[in-house]
Amino acid sequence: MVIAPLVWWACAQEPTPEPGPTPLDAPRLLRRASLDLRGVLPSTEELEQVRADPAALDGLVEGYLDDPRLEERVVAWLHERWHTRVDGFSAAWYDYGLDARDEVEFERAVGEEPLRLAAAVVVEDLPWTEVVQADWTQANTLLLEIWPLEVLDTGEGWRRARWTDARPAAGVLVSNGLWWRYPTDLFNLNRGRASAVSRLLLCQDLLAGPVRASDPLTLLEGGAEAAIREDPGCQGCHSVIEPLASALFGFHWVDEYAVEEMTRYHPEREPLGALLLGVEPAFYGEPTADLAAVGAAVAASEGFEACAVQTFAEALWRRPTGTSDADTLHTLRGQFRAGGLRVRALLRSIVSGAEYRAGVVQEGEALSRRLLSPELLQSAVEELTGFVWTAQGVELLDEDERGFRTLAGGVDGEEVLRPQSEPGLTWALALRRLAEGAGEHLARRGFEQGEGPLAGLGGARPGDAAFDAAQEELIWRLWGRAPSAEDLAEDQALWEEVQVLDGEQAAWAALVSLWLRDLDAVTR
Amino acid sequence: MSQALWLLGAGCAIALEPAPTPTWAPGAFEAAARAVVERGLPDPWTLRALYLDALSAGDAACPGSDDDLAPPEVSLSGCTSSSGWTYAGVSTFEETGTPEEPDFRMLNADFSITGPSGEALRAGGSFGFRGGGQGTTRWWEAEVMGSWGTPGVGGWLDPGGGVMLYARLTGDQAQLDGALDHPDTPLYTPGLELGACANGGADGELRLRSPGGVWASATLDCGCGFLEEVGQELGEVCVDLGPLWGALAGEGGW
Amino acid sequence: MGALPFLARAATLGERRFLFVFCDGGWDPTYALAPLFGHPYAEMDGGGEVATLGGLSWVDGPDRPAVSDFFRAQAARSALVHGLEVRSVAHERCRRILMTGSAGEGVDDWGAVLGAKAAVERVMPHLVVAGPAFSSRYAASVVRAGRGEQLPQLLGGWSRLDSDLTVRGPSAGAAAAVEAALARRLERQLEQADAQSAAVARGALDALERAAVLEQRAGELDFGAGEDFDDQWATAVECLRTDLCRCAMVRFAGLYNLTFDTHAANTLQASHFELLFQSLGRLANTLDSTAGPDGLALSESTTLVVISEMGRFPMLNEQGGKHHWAFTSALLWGSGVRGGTVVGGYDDTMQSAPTDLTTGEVSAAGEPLTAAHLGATLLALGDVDPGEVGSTPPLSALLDL
Repeated sequence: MVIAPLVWWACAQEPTPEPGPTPLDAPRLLRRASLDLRGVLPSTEELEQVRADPAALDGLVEGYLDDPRLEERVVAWLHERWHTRVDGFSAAWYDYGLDARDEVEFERAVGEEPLRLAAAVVVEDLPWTEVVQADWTQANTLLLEIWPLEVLDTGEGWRRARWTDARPAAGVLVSNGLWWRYPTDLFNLNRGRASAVSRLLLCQDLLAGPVRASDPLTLLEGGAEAAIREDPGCQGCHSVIEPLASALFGFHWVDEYAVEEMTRYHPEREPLGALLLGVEPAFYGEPTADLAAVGAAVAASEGFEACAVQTFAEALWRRPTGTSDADTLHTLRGQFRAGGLRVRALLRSIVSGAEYRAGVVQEGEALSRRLLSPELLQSAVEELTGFVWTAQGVELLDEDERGFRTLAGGVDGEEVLRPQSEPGLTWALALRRLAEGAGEHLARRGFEQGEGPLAGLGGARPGDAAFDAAQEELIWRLWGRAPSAEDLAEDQALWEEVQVLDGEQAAWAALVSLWLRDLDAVTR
Repeated sequence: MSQALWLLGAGCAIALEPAPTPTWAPGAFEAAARAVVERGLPDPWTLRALYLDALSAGDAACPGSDDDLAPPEVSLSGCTSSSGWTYAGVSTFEETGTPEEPDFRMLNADFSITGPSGEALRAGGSFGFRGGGQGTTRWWEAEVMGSWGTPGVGGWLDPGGGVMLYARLTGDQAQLDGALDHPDTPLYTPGLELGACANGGADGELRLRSPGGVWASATLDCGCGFLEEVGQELGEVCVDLGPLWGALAGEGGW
Repeated sequence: MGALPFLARAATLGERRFLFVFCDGGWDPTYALAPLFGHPYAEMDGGGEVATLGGLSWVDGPDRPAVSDFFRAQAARSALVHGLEVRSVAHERCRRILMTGSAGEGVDDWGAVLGAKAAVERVMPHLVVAGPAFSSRYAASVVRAGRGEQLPQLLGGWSRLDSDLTVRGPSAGAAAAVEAALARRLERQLEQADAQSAAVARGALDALERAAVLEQRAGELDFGAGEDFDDQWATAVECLRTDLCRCAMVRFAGLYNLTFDTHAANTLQASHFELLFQSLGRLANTLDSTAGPDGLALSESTTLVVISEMGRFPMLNEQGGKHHWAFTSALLWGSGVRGGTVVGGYDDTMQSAPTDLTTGEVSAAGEPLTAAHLGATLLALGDVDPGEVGSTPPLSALLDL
């Protein structure tokens, strides 16, 4: 679909005026957008540009939307709803003869497969409907080795690939990663998966309502299957769930732990749904010949479009949406539609809205301070200081078996389904250790290797031009604001105290670790 | 959207696509069915033999059991016997029958067994067989479920296929139902009766999936019936399932 | 950094503590808790017979003698709740409903509410040693120990932490200086432009203070819980004893971690209950023999809440298992619990029988029990207004306040 330039211009440039919170100042807003859309802090030059000319912000944000790092951000956002980046599946690295050191890489590759597909749709500016209609997926080297995939392009990292096992073209609806995360068994018969499709892609939680048979005797004497077919109390949800579940039997595994079963699509089992569930495949009453037809029906549904808007709005607003957001979401939806269902256009609309830009909020739901999620803390700190907190190659803020993802406020996709929005004890502890590591690393680079923003500062003291310049630049980049006089006085006192104790390198490490834990550093 | 018909569902509207055109022709269906039949059906006796042969190459320490693979004898990463065979995964095999009344069952299989010269057997699923009697009283029932493969053997044992088949024989008649992943033409039948027709033809519904993912079905009456796809009748087909019947009714049983 | 308010506020007399035992997978109450012999639909495939002591009845069955051992010793301090409706048959959703009373995502479980609403602020209001936890409004009150050794590692600093890039960590003096500077900075930031910003600053400052206290006491604690159920509750008991937490959650996953989810081979329930009640017996003894912060036995101030996310379908399926069922039972023991009490029951269709909340008896004039009744009861035990989470009244029949 081609969007008339005039329509596009109108949607992008003239959002409906919204009353609401006082917006952040331009540097802080740029910082928020840079973190959200690129995962890193804005450069000093970018900050200076918007300080001098706040109108430059929109142009810079436009560039962020074209930044390839947006892919990682989409992966992170969608994990918060799809919950596929979990720390274990019923098949493991050893099932494929991989090395134990590949464990986390294996788990992430599997869990990210559907997320990467969706992220590619966003980054390549394809219509969001491609997410459920693509005849391709994304795969990295590991997945290309272990799954029936043929690579379609060259390059490294996540690449376009096509399934070779006769699965229909239905994007994430035929992704191994999604169905490994949401397995089924010989009793559930894909009903949980059907519910997941509704929850993840249509934002309709079919499990939210009560499970209660109108006639318990139907349930007891005929069993659950009879009640599902006959009881009005069950039919309310199951009239939707059963036909959708019936369409998913190409992913029906004889043994939900057998990697031989889980790896491949099973086209021969497609008709089993009608046999085992007693209902032909359909999506909200519309018969579907195969999963490709389900994908097309999902893509054409209004719920899919609305859910995309809700998903990305919540990702950027950093809070759940509610009834009070209906008008804003409706407006965004119109802009999304006008933009040809391109998510980048939607992101542009969200980022230009008052809700996203909120700086001071006296009333309403908007958040003026949004905690950095663990993966965002990691990427921002790494880019600023070079410190990446890994152990045996595992990113410790991105994993929970040995790492600190949920303890630092993140989502594990199993027990923690929403990011933490306020500081907590383990958040403070994890942040402290990250800041200590990063501060020490930056100071070591500067003082021992002559690299980075602390290079050449040996002998410099507070008040010296070199000291003050380094301090100002780091704080400016980190916080998006200049330090107050109280901040500076406190910094000087801290530096001098630690310098006396442990020397100037340690004093700088202490300063950096303090700045990294400042509220202006850990929120956006 | 070429067809502007919308249905309002629960919170969503659906655009109806135009009805698809048929992809199968009777001759193509018959040829595909012939190819599936000639490739053979997965059978539990072959799997039993492959499995027990593979385990016989083990030693006291690896896999540590005569008929099962299970931790702790087999570690998650597998173990290698003195003869160079590697065993990884889990299995539970039971055999309680006699030569006259065989009864064996692989309750669950999730393993990879590799011989010194290459991969021998990869499995995820189950199989079983039990039977007895002779002549007109002969009977058996059997099933093969899941994914079973061993390279180099050819036919249905080529890796990458899936199966969910149940069959039984009583006297001179057999029933077969389930699904089989032929590489080009997956097959599904909710129930085929073999041996009842004088001409050797089968009764029951046979469905085949085209490489494009479209299912067509023929409800056979003594081997012949009308081919249907997406509600359209496409002509008569005749499918010779004689080799299938031969395999099921053969001396060893399926 | 100024004074450590949590140490100063560590007066604890009178405040009830809670130890939640989450039995994973959905148990079959007919194996231990609900003697439904003769029920038209309940298939008592575990066998056994009714055992009664005081007002309490349970299933005395083969292969699980620990159940009767426990109740014979603990009946006077135990209460059973039957017919709790969890309104779902999906594990994840049932967990949420049972522990919060609601199916929504933005909700807090009973432990989080009790921890957050405690009269005495603690370092870890609700400690999740293992098992599920749902938090939203009171997320800051919930402390997860991590699946491995994460919490003690974070507390232990860089001598216990791992990193591919070398990190020595700051000296004690430098670390103290940074902590003090950060606390001063956060205190300044409390004066923020809006309530939400101030709340974040307050939360950060609060977390900093609590972390400092916990760090000082880390050496006294063993957080190495792992998957072993006894180890998990030992950690919880230690934190209750030292008043570091008000509530704690531990997880029991059954024999070989198979969980209670017996869609096939329902007889495994016997093994799971045997192991569970063996351990609960040890736990009860430990709570009796461990002095709490007030000098009294911890059992005097601690309520044990043993729950599972759902029950099992009344009848066996073809695999000898039982599918999911939206009604279940719970066991409460200890402080504030009117022992020898059975509240509620299952009607002829194995659903919740209307129950008189004040007597606990099944009564046509009563109301069917839900997870919200359980929650309101726990809040009442914890001196928290049950209205905090809704309008459902508590099960006053089992309150011994």
